[in-house]
Amino acid sequence: MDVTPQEAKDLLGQTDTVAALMRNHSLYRRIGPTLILWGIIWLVCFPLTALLPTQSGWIWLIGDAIGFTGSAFSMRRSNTSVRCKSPNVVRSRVLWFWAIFLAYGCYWMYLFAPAGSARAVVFIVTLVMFAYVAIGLLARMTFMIWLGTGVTLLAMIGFGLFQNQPHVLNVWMGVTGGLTLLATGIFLTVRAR
Amino acid sequence: MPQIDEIIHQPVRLKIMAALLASGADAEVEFTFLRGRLGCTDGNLGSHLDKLTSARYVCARKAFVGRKPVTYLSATRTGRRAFEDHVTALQDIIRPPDASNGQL
Repeated sequence: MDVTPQEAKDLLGQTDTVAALMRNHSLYRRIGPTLILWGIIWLVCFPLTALLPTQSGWIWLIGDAIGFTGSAFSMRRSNTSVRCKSPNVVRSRVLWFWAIFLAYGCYWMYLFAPAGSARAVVFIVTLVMFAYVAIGLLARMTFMIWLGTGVTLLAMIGFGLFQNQPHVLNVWMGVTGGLTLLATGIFLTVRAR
Repeated sequence: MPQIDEIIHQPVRLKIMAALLASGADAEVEFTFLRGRLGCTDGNLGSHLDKLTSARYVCARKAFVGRKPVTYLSATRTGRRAFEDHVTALQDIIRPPDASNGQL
């Protein structure tokens, strides 16, 4: 069979386009709703922590429980048109990764940043965003790198402005970080349609 | 040296294989979803899928989601190997002769 170099190039280009389309769709459908959920949790839990600082442990325990349960549910539901034959393995790996990562994060926060301080807020936010950037780099998900870097910058700006007012910093993180997660989640969900 | 695979070489079939393999090693894709993504008609996609399933490059599985019948498609191991060889053959065609044999 005779294939010209130009024809081969065109075919490879079409192959790459289709492959990227499928990969992005699959990713956006899984991650979009999860980001929307976490954006809402940040929008609610950070300002609540500012209002009720003594109850922050309970607020985040409930917020994180809703987040984890909702993320697991959303990963399961969003997978109707492209299904993994062994979805439970992938889903449980992802959930275990985040559970272990956050357990380490809480312990490091206990060691290095006093509870209720501005340092503790920025520590946990930047730690989670570090995971976003690392996942983005490893899984070649550019939007995760941008999202992680953007929210990290917001946390650093907030710390610079409000490091002596942890309650204001909580509201800042809830509004700016929460809205960024929410907007990214909505964007990805719409793109996946 | 990998050769052009005449079954996969047809552009729609090449796109079908690319779409199925890009979805993940362990993934299966719904027929109607694939049709929408590739911009094909039912008949067109169906006839190309027949060729790919006859060659054992693609596996079709029928299931029910609620009461709705759904066809899920996935690439077989043979299909994956054939696609990879075909892509290598295409890359060899566009690669300058110097690069493939190392001669000046």
